[in-house]
Amino acid sequence: MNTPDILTVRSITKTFASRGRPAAKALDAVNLSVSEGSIAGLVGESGSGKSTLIRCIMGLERPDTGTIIFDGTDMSVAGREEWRKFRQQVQLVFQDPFSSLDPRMTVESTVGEGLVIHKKSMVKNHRRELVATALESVGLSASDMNRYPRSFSGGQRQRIAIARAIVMRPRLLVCDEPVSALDVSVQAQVINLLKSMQAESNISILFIAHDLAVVRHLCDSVSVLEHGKIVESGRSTEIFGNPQADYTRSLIAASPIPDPAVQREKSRSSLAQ
Amino acid sequence: MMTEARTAALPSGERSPATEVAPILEVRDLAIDTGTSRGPMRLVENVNLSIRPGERLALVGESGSGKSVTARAIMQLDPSMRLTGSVRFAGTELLGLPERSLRSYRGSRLSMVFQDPLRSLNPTMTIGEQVAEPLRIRGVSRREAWRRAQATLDQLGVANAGHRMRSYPFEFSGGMRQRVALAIALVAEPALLIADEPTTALDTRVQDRVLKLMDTIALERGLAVILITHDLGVVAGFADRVAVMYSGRLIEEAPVDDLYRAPKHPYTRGLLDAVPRLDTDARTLAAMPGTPVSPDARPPGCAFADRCPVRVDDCLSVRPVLLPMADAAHAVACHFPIERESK
Repeated sequence: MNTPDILTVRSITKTFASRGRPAAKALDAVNLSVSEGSIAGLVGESGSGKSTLIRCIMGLERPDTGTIIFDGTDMSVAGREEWRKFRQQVQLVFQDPFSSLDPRMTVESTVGEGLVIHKKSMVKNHRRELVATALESVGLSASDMNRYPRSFSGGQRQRIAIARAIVMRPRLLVCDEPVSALDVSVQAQVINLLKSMQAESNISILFIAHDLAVVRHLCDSVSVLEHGKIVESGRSTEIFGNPQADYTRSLIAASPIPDPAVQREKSRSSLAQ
Repeated sequence: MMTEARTAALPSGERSPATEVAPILEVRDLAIDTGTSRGPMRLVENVNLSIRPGERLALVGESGSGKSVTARAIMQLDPSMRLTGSVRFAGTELLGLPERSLRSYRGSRLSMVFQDPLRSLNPTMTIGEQVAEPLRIRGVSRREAWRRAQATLDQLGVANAGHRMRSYPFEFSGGMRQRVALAIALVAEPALLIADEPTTALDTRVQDRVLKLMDTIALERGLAVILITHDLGVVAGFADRVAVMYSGRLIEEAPVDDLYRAPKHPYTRGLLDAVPRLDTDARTLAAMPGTPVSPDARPPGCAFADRCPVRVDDCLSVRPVLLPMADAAHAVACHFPIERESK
């Protein structure tokens, strides 16, 4: 044992009943852990159960069986106070920065909203200071506070979404495809931001993505989800260097490499098989 | 099996389309203007492109770079856009052609697939009716159109096509819908296919399959393809030649290997350095600062100047033109193109 887990998902199963059909198992005995201060990747295609798993972790969906343990607390038996703490310390960043920000709210009220809810006694000036600091730490400026989302580009909006999350000083950031809607040059800015946040503040990140190259680049560990089951998990270097599950191998083989010579070699060897 | 052997023998990038063959499409000095509440706006300007039969050209750029607008202009899909310049297809000038004559090209000789197959399919028509429609419009008999529709779906790997032609789009998965959209585009045997982000909405493995199908069919039919995408990995595996767009202008064009090995434009270099690669260990990505300038805020000079690491004052005022390098196949619009790196 080295670092303790900030989040442990233990044997979660979730089925959805639908009329006239057998119940569909969205998650089947899923185990997942995020060790403190690390970036854990979760990879899966559409329909793999990624979204259901996030909803279970965030407490938006109750799993049929299994437990979610955050910082030593079993959330299935947690009381009001523990859930309050959880909602402060676990923050979510969504995929689409165009629909996740309220167009009628200024950057200041968007980023400060969590503080208004969770820190009721905080005076306005103190809140402004924290919002300004959060904006600066994601590469925006305090002078952006009075602007509205529409005047920002996609990458800047995703920074606002990240600022809204980190202003709460969360211990765990859950990022659901946070860069897949962004352009290449902007995507790199956000990836580098997440990486430097981890290095500087010991925050833990659960990073959900379908782009394996991004995951390899950013994550210390990775779990691969297929049809509601974790088919492989371990350190990134091991999984990408020496994948064991057929599914992981097929995902890696299908991911295009931005290098014409490598792509030609790949299509040659895939045809030879 | 036959098709696979051909693909293996001629992987993309090693095929050398005969240079003496006349281009199937030639775009000269294309400019696209649109009306906005603040007056007219030039979205795209000075675009020159040509593509020969059987060739694959990738049009690469970030959102807002004008790549989709350019593709749609070739098809003249947006009546609200004012187009100037020349778009010659198989020797005929398409700009200024009456809508009725345009229709005899669109969907038959010249066709297009879009990113979102759910929105481009009609939810109230069966798959079979939709795939057969381009032929029916051209007077092909119902029976014959249905037969060719089925053959095209077969070719695109839609299992049990004859039966599934009676289904509706909602009964198909995303990957299957995109195959149907491709079948509609290909059923009338076009000479040129314009594919606008055709695999962006698909899962990685489905994307891989759809790209391989497009590759095989293009090879078999000698089909020219313009692939519009932001994904440099997809480009690397599919294209012969790449044209890079930035803020409504072409800034670099080169054979695919040259572009990846020795990009000349600082923006292209920046894009390549910003993409994480699955086949290497983590490195710090070189993120380009800033964001692309919108077409209405372009400086008189180079549109990339404000983000460029090698800019001098003149770059903001003097606009670089797309000029061929010593190696005529490679062209760049930059006052200080990157010298060939010694590797």
